[in-house]
Amino acid sequence: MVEPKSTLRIRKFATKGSPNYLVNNFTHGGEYFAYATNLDKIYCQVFRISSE
Amino acid sequence: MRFSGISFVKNEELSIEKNDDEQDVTAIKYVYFKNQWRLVITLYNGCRVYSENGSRLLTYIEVPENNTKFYGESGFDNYFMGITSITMKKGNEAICVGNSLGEVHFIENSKENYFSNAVAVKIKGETAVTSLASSKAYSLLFVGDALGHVHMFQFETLKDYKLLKTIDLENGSNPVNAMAMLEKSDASVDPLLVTADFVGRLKIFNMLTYSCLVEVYAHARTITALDTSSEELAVLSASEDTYLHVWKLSVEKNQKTKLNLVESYNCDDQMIMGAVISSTKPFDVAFLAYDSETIRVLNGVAL
Repeated sequence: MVEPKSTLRIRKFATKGSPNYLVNNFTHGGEYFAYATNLDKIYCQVFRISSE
Repeated sequence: MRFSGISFVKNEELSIEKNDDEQDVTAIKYVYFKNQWRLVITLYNGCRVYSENGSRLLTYIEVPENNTKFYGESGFDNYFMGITSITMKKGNEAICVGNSLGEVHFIENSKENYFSNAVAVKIKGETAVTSLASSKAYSLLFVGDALGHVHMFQFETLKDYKLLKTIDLENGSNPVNAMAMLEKSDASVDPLLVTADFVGRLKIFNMLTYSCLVEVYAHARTITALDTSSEELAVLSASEDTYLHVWKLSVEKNQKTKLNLVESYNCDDQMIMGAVISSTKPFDVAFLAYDSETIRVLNGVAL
């Protein structure tokens, strides 16, 4: 079993409704990751892999 | 590229206003299109295509509210789902998105900022598209449906295509949840299609002979994420059963093809909603669980 060595906290969205992180899906392409949530609005965060 | 350095560098936050509670995201995926990555989001009533960093909405499909064929009597009978991109034999490229009417829309970009879209394929029967995959080398489009079939099309151009084969996954007419290709760049192995289904099973097909090489009951519940690392013939599967598995396919001459379990991870009783594996060494896996606030990364999975 490989244990996670690295974690990244997802930024909390300022929503009107539930405070939960209802992650819908997660994708990776090139230097970027993105995920989407279904809350009071549809939120999507896109972030880059750093070169560190 | 290592995943360990993920950070919120130049991140973009998109927010899409909802007209109705049912207008949710159904899928999100990066596709490679015209030498660039594009971020595609499917929704109940259409889809959106963004630039790689999410900063620009490039084009979108939105079904008009007066389209009674799509919306039906209750207002939200249908949805869009399934994302991939294809390079047709004549060289044209398209972003492909499916919908629950059994249609696949092709989005093309003939001039710099001009995108057009048209329904390229309608699969036979009353069934929905649930997942898409493609082989760029062979100009193949794979359309997975809600009844457990995979329809394999080959495209010369947008309007010149043929249905080569329909494969029944024999999974009790349950949806094809996800598909991914294994295509080695040196073509030392025939192109392989990996399918993941509602009942937790993985199957791998040779797409030149259409034969099923491997069938594995990989998960106890629905498979929610599937990714591949082609050069190592590695398959990543994740599920509502809270497990994430990394598999490696062994293909040796005169021997039976086997899918060996290389690594497993249990995600603290949380359903895993998305997982990706890097395409080059070292093989890192990043994944996200439902209702979780962290992306977790497994570094250097030994394949």
